[in-house]
Amino acid sequence: MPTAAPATLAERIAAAVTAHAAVARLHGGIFGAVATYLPGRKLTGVRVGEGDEPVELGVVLYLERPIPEVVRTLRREVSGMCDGAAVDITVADVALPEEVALLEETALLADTAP
Amino acid sequence: MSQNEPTTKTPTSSTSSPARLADDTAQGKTTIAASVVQKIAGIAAREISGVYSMGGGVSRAFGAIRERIPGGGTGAANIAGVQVEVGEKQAAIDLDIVVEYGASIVELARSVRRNVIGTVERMTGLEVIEVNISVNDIHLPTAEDDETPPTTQPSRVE
Repeated sequence: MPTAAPATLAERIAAAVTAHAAVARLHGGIFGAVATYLPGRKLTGVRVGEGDEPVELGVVLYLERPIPEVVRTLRREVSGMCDGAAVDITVADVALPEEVALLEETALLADTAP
Repeated sequence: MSQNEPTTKTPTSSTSSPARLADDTAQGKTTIAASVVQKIAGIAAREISGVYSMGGGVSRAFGAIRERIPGGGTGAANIAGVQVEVGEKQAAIDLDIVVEYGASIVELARSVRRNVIGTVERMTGLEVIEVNISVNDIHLPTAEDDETPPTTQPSRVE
């Protein structure tokens, strides 16, 4: 059972998960329900349950190494941060290299546009 | 006479239903979305030379519409012609492909199947129980393709 305050814990989990090399971004899960409601904003992709509820995590991964391996690493890391709580992980999508390039390109164009 | 046969429950998973890896129940569940399997299968099928494109007329048209819908996903091109059914530990994949003229369809289908099964099983950990391949069309080289030069062969003389 997580002992720290759920909101700050969720932010720390989000930071740790996105820092992983194989994680493209966080994702709200299949139905978009994986989220933490913070004052002023919504943190999509992480939900720290109350009590015995598992920690929920929604991620988009890069397709560069086997998904079970990445998931195992993430689970171990997040579970360690939450005092060994169960971690439900949803791989909602995968990011392909050309898609990433396309997104970055459009982001650059949007930035440079007057 | 009414027969009270127990209705066999087939996994009624559509393309949007999640798959779950049941190997790690104590520490939490892992769910892999069907679109993940779709993308991986689509890429693996395209890797085989001799596959010209994927999808029948309907799914290609649907892919074109899907790209215009916000949030419809940018990867629509990759999942055209790929339908998947995912269960707890297994996945079934249906592929619609268009082959190049000159490829042996039997050999090609065998290679596609081998590559799709290998890639999906390695990347997702799901067991692929079947890959059904339907060859929808054959692509003949036409004048419009002549603009793109064929793969340059090194000249034999210097």
